Amino acid sequence: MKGLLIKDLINLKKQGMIIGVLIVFYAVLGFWTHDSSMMGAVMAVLAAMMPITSMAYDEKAKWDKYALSMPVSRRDIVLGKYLLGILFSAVVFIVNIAFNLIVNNGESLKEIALLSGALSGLALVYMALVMPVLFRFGVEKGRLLMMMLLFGATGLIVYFSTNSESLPSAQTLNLAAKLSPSIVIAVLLTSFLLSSKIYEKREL
Amino acid sequence: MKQALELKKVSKKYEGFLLDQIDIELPRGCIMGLIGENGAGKSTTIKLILDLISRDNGTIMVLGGDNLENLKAIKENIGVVLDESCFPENLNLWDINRIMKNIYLTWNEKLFWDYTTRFALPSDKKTVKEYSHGMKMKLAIAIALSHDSKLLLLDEATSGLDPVARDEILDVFREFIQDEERSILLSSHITSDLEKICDYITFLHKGKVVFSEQKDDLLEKYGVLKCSAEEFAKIDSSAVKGCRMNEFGVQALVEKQKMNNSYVIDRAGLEDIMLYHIKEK
Repeated sequence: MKGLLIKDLINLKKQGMIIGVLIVFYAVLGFWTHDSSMMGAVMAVLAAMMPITSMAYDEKAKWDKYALSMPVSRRDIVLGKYLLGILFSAVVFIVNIAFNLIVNNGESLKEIALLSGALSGLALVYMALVMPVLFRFGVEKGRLLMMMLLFGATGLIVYFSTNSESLPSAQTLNLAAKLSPSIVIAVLLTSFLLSSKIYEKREL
Repeated sequence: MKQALELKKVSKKYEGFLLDQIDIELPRGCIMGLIGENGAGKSTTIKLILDLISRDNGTIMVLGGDNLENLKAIKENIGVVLDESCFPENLNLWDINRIMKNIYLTWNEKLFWDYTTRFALPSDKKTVKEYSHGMKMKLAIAIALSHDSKLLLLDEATSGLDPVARDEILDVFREFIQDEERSILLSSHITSDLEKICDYITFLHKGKVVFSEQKDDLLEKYGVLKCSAEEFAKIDSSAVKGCRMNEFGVQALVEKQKMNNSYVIDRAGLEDIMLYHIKEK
């Protein structure tokens, strides 16, 4: 398991340069405009993309069948990708908090943590939605479905935000904030179990 | 436990291909060669042993354990080389060592560096992307040997290597097998390699086991007969395994025991035995 994660991290290091440039660009933009939202969104997208990118690398190298000839179970492979996603979401969470504190537009630490948490949570939920698809069809074939999922989700959000009569009350928002960590965990867990089950039957 | 590998009535059906109830037994301390044309089922068999694909019927025992029950633990003692390189391209030898150290409990770092030096793999920061096909194969073989392997499963591990390198690798396998606890199953098109090192030969043809026997018995049993068509007509047809006719006469693979001594019978190589077996009588 640890070996699999190390492999993914080393493998993704090659992208580090591009990601670094992206982060610096959006960070500078954020300082300039005193607005951290773009930076936060970009970071969240990056976090969600990392496990998918690593799966694309594996697919290209046909790593999975080789890995499974080692003392590694199919469950380990699935768990490895989820852990990778969680790891990146956690890093993004911390970076977003730090960045917001530096840019500081007068929000309280609690507000900042809530916003950063929501972004990482979104990244995790997106990962939870696409992972079973990718484990079933592979990244190459699953790409289209992944895009559809992304557009579908965006569409839903736009639909609800334009059609709702009024903004939700502060009370509802508070409740949502309290409940969402457990919802994210439940979604992740369900997704993991589903992916494990799918991957158990995959012919390599 | 005497068998390193035991396949009983193993079947797998694909669209247009059936691996049909194959039985293979590889005793401990032995090397078995798996021969057969492309698409005969060699890679499928190796994938089934590793449970990379699900089987339809049969049982597979690997190093004494059922491969569906505790495969993860069993795999600690298996070294595998697949027919294509499966390394992520961005890795170099140091990365691979670090990864394997965290995958195999019995990873032997010193052995790994010994083998990579012996195989002349670049120890600088060169990544797998820059390796030749032969280098990738050598790397996979080095990894397969650098942990506590008791069984090597090698799918076309020597193909793509030049004759000198192949010979070097065969020597490595011979050293490996000195320990009588260890066994090797290797598939190859290169019958001369198999003839050099194997104790057993299993011949797969269109998803069926044509024979699975000791190599020495096979080479002892069969011979190549060259005679005229008239002479050939007089021969007991049960002795003939396959033949090839042309205007100059007949060449046939025959069972030496069933022939009387009046014929000149040449030694049959593994390739002859394989080719004549699939020729119609």
